[in-house]
Formats: sequence, C-alpha cells, structure tokens
Amino acid sequence: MSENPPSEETALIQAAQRGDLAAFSVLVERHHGSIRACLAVRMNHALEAEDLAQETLIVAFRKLPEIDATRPLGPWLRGVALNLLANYRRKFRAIPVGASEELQGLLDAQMAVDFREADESSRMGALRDCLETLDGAARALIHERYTDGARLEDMARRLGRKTSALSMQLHRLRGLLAACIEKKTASMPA
Amino acid sequence: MSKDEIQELISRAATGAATEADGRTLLEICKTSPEWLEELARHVTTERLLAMVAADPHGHITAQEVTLRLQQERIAATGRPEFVPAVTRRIGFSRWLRHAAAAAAIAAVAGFALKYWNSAHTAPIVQAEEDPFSMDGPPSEPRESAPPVAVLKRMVNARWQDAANDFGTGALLPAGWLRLTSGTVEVEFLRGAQVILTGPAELRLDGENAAYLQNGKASAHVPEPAHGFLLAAPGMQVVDLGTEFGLNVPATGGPEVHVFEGEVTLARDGSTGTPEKLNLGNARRLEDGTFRNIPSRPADFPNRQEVATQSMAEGRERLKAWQAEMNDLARDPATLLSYTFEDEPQWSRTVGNKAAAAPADSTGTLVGAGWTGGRWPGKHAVELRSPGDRLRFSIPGNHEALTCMAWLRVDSLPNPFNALLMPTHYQAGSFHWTLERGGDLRVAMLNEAGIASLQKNKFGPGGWDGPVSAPALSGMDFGRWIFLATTIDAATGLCTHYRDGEAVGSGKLAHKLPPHLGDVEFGNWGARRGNPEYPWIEWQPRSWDTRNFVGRLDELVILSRVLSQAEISRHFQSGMP
Repeated sequence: MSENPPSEETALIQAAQRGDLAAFSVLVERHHGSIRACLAVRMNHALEAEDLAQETLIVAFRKLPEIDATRPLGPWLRGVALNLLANYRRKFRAIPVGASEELQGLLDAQMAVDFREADESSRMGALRDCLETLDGAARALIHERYTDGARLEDMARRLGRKTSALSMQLHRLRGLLAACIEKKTASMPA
Repeated sequence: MSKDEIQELISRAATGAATEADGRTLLEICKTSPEWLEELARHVTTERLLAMVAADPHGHITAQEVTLRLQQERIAATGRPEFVPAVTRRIGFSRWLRHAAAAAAIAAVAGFALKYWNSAHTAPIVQAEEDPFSMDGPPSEPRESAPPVAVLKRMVNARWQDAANDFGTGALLPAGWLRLTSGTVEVEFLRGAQVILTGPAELRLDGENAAYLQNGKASAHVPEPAHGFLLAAPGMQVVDLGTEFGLNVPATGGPEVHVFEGEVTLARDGSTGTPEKLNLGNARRLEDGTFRNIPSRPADFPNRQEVATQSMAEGRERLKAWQAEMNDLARDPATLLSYTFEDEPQWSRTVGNKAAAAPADSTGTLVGAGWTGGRWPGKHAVELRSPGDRLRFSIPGNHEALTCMAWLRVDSLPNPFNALLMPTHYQAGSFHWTLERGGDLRVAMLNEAGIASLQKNKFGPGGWDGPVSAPALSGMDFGRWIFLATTIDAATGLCTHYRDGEAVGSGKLAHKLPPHLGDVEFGNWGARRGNPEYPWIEWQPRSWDTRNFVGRLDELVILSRVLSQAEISRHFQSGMP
C-alpha cells in the first residue's frame, strides 16, 4: 500500500528538521505574520512583540525535530509563542492593562474568545486596508501619533487643542478602525 | 459613571495611561458588563495593531532577522558561512567526463573540506588543471574571515573613531574593538544579549557572550539564552543573572552599574570572594577597590524603544535623501534604467523604469521572485531565493560605456557563479556580471572569436575578454545591505569594480568592444543544456549551470556612461541604509 505524498508544508518541515535553513525560511515567511500579530495584540510594545516573535521562531527551529511534521505548523507555533509570552510576562513583570493583573486576566480570556486561530494576522491586514479609508486629516493624525511616535501633548500644542479632546478623538478613530476591521474580517472567506 | 467617562477610562487603559485607580474602576465595570470588556479588548487590540503596523508597515522585520540570526548561529556553530566549498578548479568538460567516476570521491573530499574549514588549509582540493575549453575561467574560492561574535543591529547618527569600524547596519562583527565617537549603536551578541552603546565609548567584543567597556555608557538587555553575559569594565566584572542593566565608565571616577530589571553579580578584578549581588533599582560605583551604593539613574542610559524609534526616524530621513538623489539620476540623459522598487503594489509582477529617457520595453518582469522589505522601513525590495527566481528586462543597443549599480543584500553565494546581470541572447559585447563563490565581483565579455566559435559549434580558447574580477565581499557581509557597481569603457577597454563607493579592482577587456545588454536577466541565467542558443554550456562542469542569486535587490541602475569614482561614492553615500 502506497502512502500519500506529503503536503508541501510537511516536506518543508521535514527539510527544516534536517537543518535546511532555506526550507525553514519559507516557513518563517509563511507564519511569522500570524505569530507577530498574535503577540502584538497581547503586549504593550510593538518592538517587544517583534523581539518575542523572532525568539519564537528561533526556539521553534530548535524544537522542530521534536514535532510531527504531518500536523499543521501554525497552531504549534502559536502555542510556542504564547508559552514564551507567559514566561516573558512573569520574568519581566510586564505592566498589565490598567495596572491590574485581574483586569489583564479578564482581557486575556476575552481575547481568547475574540481570536480564532491566527485571526490576529487577518486583523492586521484588514487594519492596513482600513487605514486607507480614513480621510486625509484623520490619517495624518494617526500617522503622526503612531508612525512618527509624537507625544499627545506635543500634538495638542501644535494643533491648539486640549490633550484630553485629542485623546478622545484618537479613541473614536480607534473605534472606527475597530469596526472597519470587524466588518472586513467578518466578510473574509473562511 | 457615564458612558463617556467609561470610554475615557478605556482610552487610558488602551494607551497605557491608566492609573491604578482607573484599573480598579475598569475591573469592576468589566466584571459586571461583558459589553464593556469587549469594548476594552477592541480598543486594546486596535491600539496595539496600529503600533505594530507603524513599526513595520510591510511586516518583514521579523522574517529577515530570524533567517539572519539562524544563519549567524550556524556560522558560529560551524565557523563556516553557507558557501559551497570548491572541489574543482579549472576542470573542463572533456576531462570532467573522464572524472565523472570520481564524483563520489569528490563528495567525500567536500565533507573533508567542511570539517577542516577553519584550518589554514587553502590549497585546491582537486589539483588545478588547465583547460582551454572552460567557458570564461574558474570562480574564486571563499576567503577566510574572522568568525563573527555579534551583529550590528541598529545605528543612530553613529560616527566611528576608526575607519576599520565603518560597519553598516546588519554587519557581522568579529571580536575586537568598537570605538564610537558619537551617536548610538545597538549590538546583538550571537548568544542573544543586546547592548546599546552611546558615544563617545570604547567597547571590546570578547566573544559571543562577553565584552569589555573601556569607557562610555552601555546598557544591556539579556534574554534567557544569554544568561551569564559578562560585561567587564576597568577593575570589575558584571555578570548577568537575567536582567537589564547599565554600565557607565566615566572619564574620571570609577565605573558604575545600575540595575533596571532582575539582578547581576559584581566582582572586582582579582577578588576571590563571593561576588556581590545587585538587584532591581539599585546602583553601585567602584571607588578605591570598594563598591559603594549610589542613586540609581536609569534615565541616564539609552533604552531600546528609544533607539529603535530614533533609528526608524533616521531611516525615514535617509529614504527622503535617497529619493532626491534618485530623482536627479532619473533625469540624467545617460540613465538607461532606474528600478527603485518603491511604488509597485505587493501583487505587481512588473517593475517600472523611472529613467526619464527609459527605452521602450524596459519595464521589468518578475519571475518567481517576490516583494519584501528593503533598506528602510516602508521601502520595498525584490527577494530572489529559489533557483527559478529572476527579474527580466530589455535594454537595446550597444553602448560606448556602461555603469551598472545595485544595492543588494547577499544572503549566500551557493553557486560557483551567482548571477547579477546575464544575457539571454549573445552577441559580441554581451557580458556576464556575476558574484563568484568566493565573493569576487566579475565581468567576462564575449568577443568576436567567441561568436565565431559558437557559429562553428566548436568553442575554442580566447572567446572571452577578461574575466576582470575583484574581491568585493566575504561571508561577513551576508545579510547586510551592500552597494556594488561596475563600469565598462569601450574606448579604453577598462573595467572597474566598486564596493560601497570604493574601487576594489580593475582590469582591461582586450578587444574594447561596446558593451551590449539586450534581453537580460538579473539574478539568474536562462542557459539550458540542449538549447542550441547556448552550445558552450555542454562543455562546462554541470556545477556551473545553476547561477541563481540568493538575496535581495533594492535598487538597480544602469547608465550609458562611466561614472567617476566621486559620482559612485556620492551615490553610495546617498543610499546608505
């Protein structure tokens, strides 16, 4: 009885298990977006999430020989990432949301419900599209705050507005973007 | 509490501005109202996604760095970059056939070569033999280079004291001194410790997990795999126990250690006692051979978030300066081709030629190759990885002179010849622009005798002018952006190679033929055995057939004149990442 030929991903995992870096780099290209998005929504700083996503993939490469190459890689990588995140929070005493461990616990549970497997990545893609739909002034505001890293106080001074009013405007923009993301991801094919 | 007030609480919590009192209030609200908990999750998620999209708009930072880090680990483990070691030198096809039975032996020799890569063994493994039928001369062999111990991850306004330290971002760093006059650099050791150095400072890299700070300020972040990282200073040593700490060696007074996270051990040089432990929030200075408590001043040290943000801001400024230079270059009437890889959407399979005098049909076509991140945040590049990947385009006519320039990230040199520009049809003046296995940049040009040989289907010696080769890179350059340029002048026959704006070698092409491009490929070679268009391929070793380039292309420019050293240097300066 002949066995079914391995899927392309299985073949790549098997090659990477033998130490083939080129094969692993294809897997990295394929999965790193999901891993970084999964971590980004659970961490306070984007660059810390970048670092931990990188660490996840490095650890994954080392542990790869231990896994069954015929099983999907994505959920396993996600598990590695969330384990590393738990260690990270413990070790570096990451500040919980609202400075409350209990609130962070509620939020984690809510996120576990909100995100189906690897769904964070599709939300990041949707966010890029949603940003394009904002009008020029709103987009400039988002750009200044997030891309240029401007402080709210400096932005408010430049615009001649109150910091609290600007903060709430950004909050409303986040709400609009969240609604847009939900609409887009809801209409994506499964 | 009104809905607006709850929204304000959520806004503060999502942006990290909430107080403990805010957190307690929000907790009570979320406990009793799932709708508000959902709203909080929505805002926290969106805030963080926005930050992530801003940090890396195209989502390539991690993928690039993971592959690079694994490659570095492999280099560290084996002392060997991913070169394919040479096992043959100048063995022509006629002899190759007779030697075919020896292939297995050669494979065994290759294993031997790998094992002894770090030794002083440099002699060819199979004895060189002259062969008049080899196509355009054998490639160079990999040169030995010092093993790397760290990577230069980021730079902000960095000025080095020594020209020998003139490293670019992404450079692999060997053991030795880094002398920084001003600015800030982030060094990532191969075991994972990250050190931010603020100039003026002198840091000696002692190994994959050790360094010595002679003077200046450094802060270290040490992830788990790098625990035990040793940072020494005059008279003392700091060993990490899972931490983030700062070390300051001022011009006058003793060195100071400030612990920001976790704990470290401190030991005086020559001390035999138990090292002292220093915890989070504490600082000590070594004075007269004794550690004394001093106030902790974490704000005196640079942190990674600030450096990363400043580095990205500097990258955006450099991108603007480069765009201005590229706009000037596009208007130069001699510019035949200017691929900047800026405006193409990610799904595009074509590349626009920005040259004002762009020849018709000079739009590039991507085959296999995909889009990826370039030199700066938000800048695209083309990634060539698989043996079929290439960028095809056409530049008609013969030219009295040519300058070819490319910003590249070479990830490995897997083939004896690794294609930069290769013709798909040959005539006198067609040339191969390649990177040899050993890192030499090379041009070989087909001449009239070569064409006559092709027509007679009997390829003889002297069919190629050159090769003109010059050492351009080593395994230490893998994974970093480099700038390569080559000029060919038909009037003098002079061919000159440049690396990062400096001439690295030149030579004469005997017949002074006008160089010809025609239909060309970047990153690959269309020649296949059995195709009458490429008869000589039948006479070369099979190992020479595959010539795909492995890495990234961020800019490709071709001009129909010889750029001066000063012009090439200026172009390099404007494009430095």
